[in-house]
Amino acid sequence: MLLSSIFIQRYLSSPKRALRRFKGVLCYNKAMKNAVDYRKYAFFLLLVVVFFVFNFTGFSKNVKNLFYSFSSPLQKSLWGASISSSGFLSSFFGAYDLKKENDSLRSENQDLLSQIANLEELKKENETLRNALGVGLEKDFQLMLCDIIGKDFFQDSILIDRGSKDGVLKDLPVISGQKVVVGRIGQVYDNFSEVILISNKKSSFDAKISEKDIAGLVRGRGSSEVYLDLIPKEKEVAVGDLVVSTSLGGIFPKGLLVGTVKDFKKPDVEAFQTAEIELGFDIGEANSLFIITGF
Amino acid sequence: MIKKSIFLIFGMYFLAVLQSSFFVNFGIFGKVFNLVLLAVVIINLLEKPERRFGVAVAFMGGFFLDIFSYSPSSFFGFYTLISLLISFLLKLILSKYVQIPAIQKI
Repeated sequence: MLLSSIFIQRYLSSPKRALRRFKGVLCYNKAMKNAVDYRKYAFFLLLVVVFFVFNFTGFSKNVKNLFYSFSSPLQKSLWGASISSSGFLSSFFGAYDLKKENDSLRSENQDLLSQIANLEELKKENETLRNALGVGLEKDFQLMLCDIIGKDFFQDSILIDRGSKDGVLKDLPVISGQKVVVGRIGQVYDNFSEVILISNKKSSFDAKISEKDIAGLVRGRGSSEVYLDLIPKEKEVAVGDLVVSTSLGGIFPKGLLVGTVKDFKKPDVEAFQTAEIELGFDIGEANSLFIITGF
Repeated sequence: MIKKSIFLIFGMYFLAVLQSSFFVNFGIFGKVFNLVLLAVVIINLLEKPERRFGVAVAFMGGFFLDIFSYSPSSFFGFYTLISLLISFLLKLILSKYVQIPAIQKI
């Protein structure tokens, strides 16, 4: 009551004074708002500068390594749990197709067993001939076992629990337990490394269709998809052809399985044909991988 | 204040870890929900524009997304800056152009 009477006395009796006061308050508020806006922009710019410094001095690598060190036990158990859960869910939803898939896998298994028997004979013959000629036997790779800790949510790359302290170097090849090409080492930290999967958009390497000796370039498309590019148009590609790595690029050893051809395109306007590849591994079902440290 | 800070840091940390190690294998057509970004957007929408908790959520969420991003060519700080930008934009829109009185209770 008292305040309102003072208000009426001071401001409504003198409109000019009221207007002056009101303008003053407005200017003060505008100045304060501008100051707050500038502070926001300054904070944002400061953060950009700080992050640039982080990236160019390599300080971010140490920070990441520290976080991975104390997160890795939790991440490993979560990764294992996610593999079991996603496997259960996919079998639950895919139950209808399971019998068909089971039957086709049985007959494929029989074919493969007979092929293995033939190959064993060829292997023995190869060893005998090499000994006779004094050429020397082919050596197996030197492998280092590693566990998967996590996967990038936007790009096709994963984190493993081996780093520079374990002798890991950039661009070393990574394969699955069944000797299928998985990717190569990207960024290396002290105790961890990032693996660029072959389905990453930035990944490409030389490969060939094994039985027909058709050379091409395997490129990643993201979202676990790869395709074989630069296949000469006159070559005949068929669904089911096996794609294997070659040693041309110097990254992967020759003869490692990449996948099988599931589709191919031969557009008239293009100089080459491309083939879509069904990958020989599923990263969502793998717990451990192998790094090839020597070949 | 301390409780809120602890909730903020651990909450964003566990969301980022869950996203990169658990939910990453439950993608739909190869895409995974960005839980951290979802949390940033929801908290900034529910909060009054003049409050600052949403900005802190954006900063911590983006920071942990940068930590648990395994792409070798990624710029450390990219997700932090993007999250902060989203938080600032949401606050600007909610303070100047849109008002939802029923949900701005925090």
